[in-house]
Amino acid sequence: MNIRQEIRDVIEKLLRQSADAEPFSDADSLLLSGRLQSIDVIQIVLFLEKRFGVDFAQTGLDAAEIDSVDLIDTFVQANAQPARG
Amino acid sequence: MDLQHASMELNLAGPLFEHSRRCGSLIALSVAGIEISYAELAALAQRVASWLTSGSPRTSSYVVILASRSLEAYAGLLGAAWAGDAYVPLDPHLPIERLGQLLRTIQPVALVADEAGQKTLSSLPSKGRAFPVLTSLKDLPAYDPEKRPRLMQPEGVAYMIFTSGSTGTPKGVIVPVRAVHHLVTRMQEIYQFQPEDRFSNAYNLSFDGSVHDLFTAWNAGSSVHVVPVTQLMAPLKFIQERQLTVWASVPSTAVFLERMKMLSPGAFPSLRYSILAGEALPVRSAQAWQRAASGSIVDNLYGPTECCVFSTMQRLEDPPLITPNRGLVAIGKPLPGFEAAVFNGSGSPVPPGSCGELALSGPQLANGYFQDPERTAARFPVVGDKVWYLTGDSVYKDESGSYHHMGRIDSQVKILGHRVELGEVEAELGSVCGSDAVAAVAWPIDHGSARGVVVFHCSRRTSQEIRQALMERLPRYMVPNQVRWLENLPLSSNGKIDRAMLTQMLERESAESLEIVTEE
Repeated sequence: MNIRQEIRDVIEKLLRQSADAEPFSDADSLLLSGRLQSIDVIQIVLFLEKRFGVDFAQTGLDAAEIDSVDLIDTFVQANAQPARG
Repeated sequence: MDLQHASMELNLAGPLFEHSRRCGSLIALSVAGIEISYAELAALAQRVASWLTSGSPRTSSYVVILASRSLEAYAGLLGAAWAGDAYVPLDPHLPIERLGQLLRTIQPVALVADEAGQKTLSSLPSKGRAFPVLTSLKDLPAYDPEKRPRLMQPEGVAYMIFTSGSTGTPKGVIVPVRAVHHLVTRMQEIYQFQPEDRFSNAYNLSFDGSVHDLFTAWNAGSSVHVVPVTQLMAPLKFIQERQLTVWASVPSTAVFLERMKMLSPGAFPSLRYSILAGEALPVRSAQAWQRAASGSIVDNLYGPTECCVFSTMQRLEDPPLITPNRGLVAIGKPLPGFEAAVFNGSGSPVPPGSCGELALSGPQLANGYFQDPERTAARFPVVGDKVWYLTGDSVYKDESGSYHHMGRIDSQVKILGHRVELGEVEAELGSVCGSDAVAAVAWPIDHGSARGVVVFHCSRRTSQEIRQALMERLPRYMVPNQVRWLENLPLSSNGKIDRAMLTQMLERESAESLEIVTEE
């Protein structure tokens, strides 16, 4: 499975939990638009850490950097630790 | 630096004005990429005040600040204070319906909007709008160095903050200048803030923690650094890059940072004081924050909006004072000036060590609720020769004199520090579903704080429709995370909807499923 699809799957599950069945494009704002809440952001962060070895203690976390599937993809490309990926 | 602490007795903008005369080049505010000095901010506040009072003479009134984390927001509230008016902060992202309802209730004398506020306002019909709207700081009257902040009576209104109301209508808490003056003076005595201090402003203006951030900092001649919305949840880099010395936020910030493994030991070397306030503080997260901010004092502060921000305080010690069985830091002892008592259901004091409702009395009490004398009389009763505020919080006092928070006596919950009356969610849900067979429960609960709301209904409307309708009526933090349909709602033996059983149902489900990230 490609990275983008994996990210989409996680987002879709999180949205579904919130009774949000509206479609979303890879460019749609998810956090700043309020579609996902802070508790969802924790899930995304833990997913990125576990799956791609992103070290958030080093990168910090700016919601604007992981606001859409496109942005998360770019963020992962820049911050994944290949050994754990 | 030798700075005398300014007196706030007569105006919230007084200290800003006095510092602007003595040390005007110091930075007062950093917001949205702009750094602005005491002299510049005072001039801006004075110009906003001139704009507010340029019409015919009038009595002090309410100025709505429909702005957030922008220069307009801070200039607006300081301008209102300078003019002797009260500011009313409203979130520019409120649903239109709710904003319209609030504006009709408040009948403001003017409104200050930033870009986000103007966008929201443009969706409201402007026909019949009786108040002027300030949309740009460029169009203000010229600065007049002769004009000082208007003298106010101690009982004059400083601000009004709306909180969730159990009957479905938000209630406005009216806080006088006297209360803010007392708060700021006490905070300065406790912490001895200096002009070199660099304060965070993480709290939204519509949340009264911001009153501490701003007016305590400006009283001490310190600078305020507004946390951008994108960094609110994980302000790691913000604290580091700004070299903040004073941090104040809801404990959820510490909980989230800890859970995301971002609280490395020594991560915050610049912090001197960390104030965690607005909801229950888990010991584990407080200790993780302490390791990250090893040179900082970490304090748990508690206080309802009706008692002007902070009422009790507990320092994180080693070992910490823990509320047994809850994993929480105790809420501690009343701040100087406060008197606390624990009442039973009939308004008499309980024996020491017993649980009851916390009541507070002292100079930080609000004047009451906007246009609601009945609720004011009920929640601010006179007992003996004093006015008390009945907090609705269930507490007990231990042998050391410290208070422990045991939950609520009603159905109010806290979500990221926001007060949410489940009754208000149910009232809106009932009107959307056209039925009273609805229920709202706080879920999940994490160390005494709710992370969201789950609602139940039996109507024919789809979950999607209901959620959409609620989004148009309620602030974002009150919109349910889940909308669940049940054929019938469980009833307790007295015929009321059994919320405990609904919570148990969610707990059972949760035990059966795993978190998303661990699903394979």
